[in-house]
Amino acid sequence: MNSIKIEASQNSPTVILDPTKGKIKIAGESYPENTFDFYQPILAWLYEYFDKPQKITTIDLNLFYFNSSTVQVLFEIFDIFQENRDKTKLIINWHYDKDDIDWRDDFDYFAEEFEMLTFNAIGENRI
Amino acid sequence: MSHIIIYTINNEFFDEKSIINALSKIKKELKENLPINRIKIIIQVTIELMQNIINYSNIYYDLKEKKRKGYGSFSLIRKEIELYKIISSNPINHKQKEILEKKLNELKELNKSELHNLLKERIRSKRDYHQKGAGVGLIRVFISSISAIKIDFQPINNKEYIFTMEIAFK
Repeated sequence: MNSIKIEASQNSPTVILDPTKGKIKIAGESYPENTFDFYQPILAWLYEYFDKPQKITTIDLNLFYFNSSTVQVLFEIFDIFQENRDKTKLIINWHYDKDDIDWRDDFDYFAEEFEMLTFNAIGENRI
Repeated sequence: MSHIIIYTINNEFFDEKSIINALSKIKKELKENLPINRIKIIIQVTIELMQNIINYSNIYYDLKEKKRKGYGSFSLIRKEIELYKIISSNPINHKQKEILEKKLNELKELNKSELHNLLKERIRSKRDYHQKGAGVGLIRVFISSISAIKIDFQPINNKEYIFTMEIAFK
């Protein structure tokens, strides 16, 4: 299985999917015009990865601004994590801007919807 | 009452680059005056409304790789120190008007908690990725507004309308 590395653009995030290290990272802004086309290879990779995942899978999500289509895709991504939670130890790191006093809105939204998953909230200083 | 135009594009074709340019300028203008949580809401509504213009304007042309340019207008205005407004408009046809009116009338009746529940329900049920969001964006816009959203369908002729939304933020 291949790694995937996509560089960030002004409206799409950096994506790093590394099957040998069990690392999944999505970071940046996410409002590509054809959001579903952008995320389709990522979803396909995730389905394949979770057939034979590493013992530990670390997910780092660090999204700044995202459109409603990205929210829909995130639901599918978290569905995949939730369905496969018994196959691997999932570490889900939700990164947020320390200056955003409403950061919990998005965090709680996903944490409450996917209550079988454990989310770690990691505050950081964004420029 | 005085107001300041933070950003405006009038009667132009919008594409992906229009959104990128608008966000860059809006972020620069707002970061001096607003905390990040409030900037985030304005930015996310800007993305939704500009993408609606691109995807649903009745005056458009297709570009390569399933991309589009859609015709419309967008303004971000500061009306008072604490009050911001976004006004977005684009032409639509009669069929679009009927669909939109029905959706918007449903949303107008809901409180914030009901809107959040509907959002989750729509995300769960409308996993049809060819529908470009299928109303999820509109629900997020309604959740973001601090007061009733002003909606207008101004007839151009007997087949077409200018659809306008005005959203307020504190």
